[in-house]
Amino acid sequence: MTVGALLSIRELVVEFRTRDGAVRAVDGLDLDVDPGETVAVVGESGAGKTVAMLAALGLLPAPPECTVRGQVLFDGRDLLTMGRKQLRQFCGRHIGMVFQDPMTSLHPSLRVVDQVAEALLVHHKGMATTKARDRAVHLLAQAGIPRPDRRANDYPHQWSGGLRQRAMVAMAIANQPRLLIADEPTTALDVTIQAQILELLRSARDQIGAATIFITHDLAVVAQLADRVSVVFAGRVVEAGDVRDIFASPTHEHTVRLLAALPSPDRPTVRTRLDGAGPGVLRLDNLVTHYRRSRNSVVRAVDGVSLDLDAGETLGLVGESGCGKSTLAKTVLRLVDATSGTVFFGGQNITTADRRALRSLRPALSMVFQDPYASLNPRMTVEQIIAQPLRTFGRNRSGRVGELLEMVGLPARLAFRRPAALSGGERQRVAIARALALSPRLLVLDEPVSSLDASIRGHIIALLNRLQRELDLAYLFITHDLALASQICDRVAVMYLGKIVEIGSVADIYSRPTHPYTRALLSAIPVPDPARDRPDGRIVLSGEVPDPAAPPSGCRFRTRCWKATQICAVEEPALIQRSSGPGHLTACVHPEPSDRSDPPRAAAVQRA
Amino acid sequence: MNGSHSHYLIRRAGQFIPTIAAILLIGFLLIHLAPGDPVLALAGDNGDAQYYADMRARFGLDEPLPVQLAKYAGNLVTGDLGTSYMQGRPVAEIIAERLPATVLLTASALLISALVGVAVGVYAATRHNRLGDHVVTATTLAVYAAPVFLLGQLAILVLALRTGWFPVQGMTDPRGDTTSLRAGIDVAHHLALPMLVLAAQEVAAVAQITRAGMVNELGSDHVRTARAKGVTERVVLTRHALRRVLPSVVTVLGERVGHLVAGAVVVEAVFGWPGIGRLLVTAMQSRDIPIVMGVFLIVAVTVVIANLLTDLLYVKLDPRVRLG
Amino acid sequence: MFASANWLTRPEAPGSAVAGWRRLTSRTPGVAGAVTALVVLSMGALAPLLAPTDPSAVDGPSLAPPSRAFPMGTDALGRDVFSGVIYGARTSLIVAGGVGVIALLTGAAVGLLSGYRGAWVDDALMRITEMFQVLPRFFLALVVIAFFGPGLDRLVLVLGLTSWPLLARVVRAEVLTLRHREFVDAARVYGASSARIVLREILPNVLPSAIALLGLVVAQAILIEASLGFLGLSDPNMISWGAMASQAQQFLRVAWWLSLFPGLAILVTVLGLNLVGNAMTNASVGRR
Repeated sequence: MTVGALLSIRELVVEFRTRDGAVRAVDGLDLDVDPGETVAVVGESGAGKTVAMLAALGLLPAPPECTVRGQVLFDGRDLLTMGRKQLRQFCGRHIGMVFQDPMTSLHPSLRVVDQVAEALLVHHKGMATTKARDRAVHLLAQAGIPRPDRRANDYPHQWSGGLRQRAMVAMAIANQPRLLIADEPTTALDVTIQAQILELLRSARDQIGAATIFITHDLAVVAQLADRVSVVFAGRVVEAGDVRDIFASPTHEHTVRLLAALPSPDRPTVRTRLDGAGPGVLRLDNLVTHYRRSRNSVVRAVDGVSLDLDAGETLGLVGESGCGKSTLAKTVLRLVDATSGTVFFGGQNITTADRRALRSLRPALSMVFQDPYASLNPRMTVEQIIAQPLRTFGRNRSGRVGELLEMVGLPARLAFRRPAALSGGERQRVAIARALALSPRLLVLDEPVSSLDASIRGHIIALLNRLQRELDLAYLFITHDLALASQICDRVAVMYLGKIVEIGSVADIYSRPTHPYTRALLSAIPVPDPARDRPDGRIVLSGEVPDPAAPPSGCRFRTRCWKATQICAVEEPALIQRSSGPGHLTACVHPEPSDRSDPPRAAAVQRA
Repeated sequence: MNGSHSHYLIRRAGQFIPTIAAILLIGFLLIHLAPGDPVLALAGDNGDAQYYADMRARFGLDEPLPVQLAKYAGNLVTGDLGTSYMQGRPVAEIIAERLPATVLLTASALLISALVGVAVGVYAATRHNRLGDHVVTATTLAVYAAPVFLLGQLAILVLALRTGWFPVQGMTDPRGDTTSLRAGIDVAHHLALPMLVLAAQEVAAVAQITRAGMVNELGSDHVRTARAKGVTERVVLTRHALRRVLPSVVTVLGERVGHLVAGAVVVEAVFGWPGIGRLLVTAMQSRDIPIVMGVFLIVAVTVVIANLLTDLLYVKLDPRVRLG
Repeated sequence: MFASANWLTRPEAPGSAVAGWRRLTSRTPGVAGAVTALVVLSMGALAPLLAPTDPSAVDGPSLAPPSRAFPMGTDALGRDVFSGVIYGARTSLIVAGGVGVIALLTGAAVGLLSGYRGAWVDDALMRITEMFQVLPRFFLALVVIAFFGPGLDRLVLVLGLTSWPLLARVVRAEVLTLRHREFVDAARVYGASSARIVLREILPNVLPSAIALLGLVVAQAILIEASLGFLGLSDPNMISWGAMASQAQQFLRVAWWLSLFPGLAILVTVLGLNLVGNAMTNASVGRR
């Protein structure tokens, strides 16, 4: 045991008994954490990092379902040999934990305040309930929940993901633990919210002086947060060391792989574009899609979007959850009817086309969805899935399915397997093959790689790029990941609350962003370089995304914008060319200057 | 908060009326679809011409169907369920006499099964995949699959005839004391076996649902959070897990009321318990249709009310339905 | 350490048909249940071949305990209980088959329509389903028997027409989940018609849970038929296990076998069906 270490894990082994035999999730894991330091535990999903932490805290099932061996020394005492009663002294008191999914990690039927108060009451037997509640409210306020006293009677389902995660953090630090464990705390959140929560964790940690273990699959997130990094692969630590060393000169091949998979927004991959892109394929003219959510509210998912796309070109549609990008995709494909405005495909008006005309247009429009499991019928074989569109149009000549499989790089023998037997990457390839079956001209891709592991993403993106060149396809690429967009898009449109706030070439958007929201998005991308500090300061947006059924008047972004002025509440800014080059349009009356000479200060107060 | 609460309740209460109406309609249709003259169904086949003439007038049998329906419904609503020809008395009166015994049997069975069922289910969940769980699961499956009369007859064979611990038939000892405490104990003594037999299947059903729900909750993320906070296992079981399972238990109980009453009929036959069940059996044998119809209607309405009550209880227990 | 943690098994449910079958068979209860139910129900189908004597033949000794000649004893009239039990399986088979078919067809149709169409169709169908669901099946059967006399045909009809609501609910819930799954959207993208989507994409995914539930529904129907038989209201032309047990009431003290064997037959059949139903439900849940 390292002298002075707060937490010392030695030779941890965790075995599960499953239907298919014994599985070793953790295979001899060692970890040291000194008081006050932050250690990042990094690895791909399934590597065993979460299981290890849960084993340490005794949160795993009892034998024989699960057996744990090894040593977990906290302040010299072995947690694994302690009785339940003693262990509970540590859980929630000296050790606090923040889990990944705030939606399922909070008790649905108890008020949030009561759950936070419970963390206090469990460890302070004599405390009065009212006092605990008051402290809980105070903790929530500290965690950045606006007006927690007013929301004292709220239940978790009434709060957004970001707010719930703040509540989780408040619960974890309630008793000023000496060790804080954060298990993928930001993975389920939007990029700008992610930045907020990271900021919160950082300040919470500094405030109580706790040591922190930060578990994640994304190295970039911890680059500027961690002191040391431990890389986990197949249940053991394969490399550990100072964060700068790990980034600068990784030794183990797995670490190298993890680092290589990180995109960097400052150096967008330059695509080889086709010279002279073909004729216009898609044109949206002031498209509006509203849908009724309940008796009194209509969600204005898409609220006046105009854009165009040429053959062989990729237009990226970037935005966070709730901005309307998925609804836009569905409207383009007429899975959902537009409320007003037009969609022109190759000159033809899709929005008003009748059923027969629509049917004849269908082959030319295609889509690849986000969830590779949900987008394939689990009861059909790969061959049947790909053949469905062909059969619908009577074009199932023999060998076509084989051709398509080859096109997407899948071996023919997979044709008779079911989706459940395939990996995520393979499934997505099947989805792409199906989308290409009828030789479309436009492919709408809705977050096609978000559910895949970082190392697979690259391959799929490369495949998509190749197919575009070979088949002269136009892509509408929807994603929340601005960094990813740079790898495949020619132009990018940034969406917020149903409107496009900025549109331009990749170079424009990344090097000369003019809309404040774009800047915030770029800034929220974690920089995978511990040595470098941000040149423009970190922008952390305040507040939450407003309800799309009741968007703010004037400029919709003004409630979170640090530059908002009177005029922003009155007039909605038009999407026009402002300060920078041609084809680069912004909807803001205070666009960022091209030289970015005034770095903004941090969070502004939320306006109503 | 109370706004949407009462909104939901009003909606549910609103469905109550059409459902009752549908039940009445079905009764009415059956009477008229059955072979033979409807008046026989309503008034028995023992009467003379004058009697039938009166009955015809009372039920408006010579008038157009809608009017008949209205009269029928009107009669029912005022509590007139027809007249038993066998006994010559109003059906409502006859049923009211027998009802308390059945209510006693059914209500006590329901109560016991709820308490014991939940306890057994929680126990099994805490011993998940170990011996205790397997024993409970096997037992509940067997009991749930057994016909009620088998359980009853076995109970009599083993617990009454062989050992003499419990009486075999009836509700009271005819030679017994009539002072209230003694009489009460006597009734309880007679109640024990039939009630236990009736409750057995409900316990099995409740235990299965509770166990499944608890196993699910105990493995959920929010329970993991609670344990990570250091909450004691007892509080985890009750506040964090059981609380989330209770709504479905309540729903199951509500849905099984019809089943429970049906079981009561058989139990009463096995144990000679003097409730509606016995009444029903004799009525069936003598084709005393008004009684059979009367019981059907009462049970149907009871089931509807029970469903409504469980809905209200569910809403109280799960805030997401209330406010979401 | 705790008893369970389902978040551990969350990722990637493995499961082609082979894996599903493997999981089904690796669970002995499911297999035992399937085998039992199959044995019993085929007993009914092959009754004339299997029964040693005609069940209504009164040539045995009265109230004889189980022996080599009469493995399950005889009743008060000297009839062989064993043959009676075998022929009783026939009644249960008819009930199971009839109710199963009616409930499945009606329930699946309503559930599919309701779940896929949504809106007012869904509302209307669900109202109707609720109304059918609250009808007390047992008492309705009594009323029908009171009016029309006892008979297996009308019993199957009544039970079938009142057992489908649960199936409809389950099917509808499944359809609702699947309707918004992306593979349905994908089918609409390449222009599949609604009918095609419902039949080719959704139905095969819904069928397993519907059939799993069917086992439980049919088991309930068998129990109701038995109870009616016990009260003396079964079809007079068929041998009913329940009716056999009702005879036992008077002779309980002296002839326990009259009660035990028919009752046991019911228990075994219903248990088998329940086990298969449970196993199928577990298997299909695991696959998701």
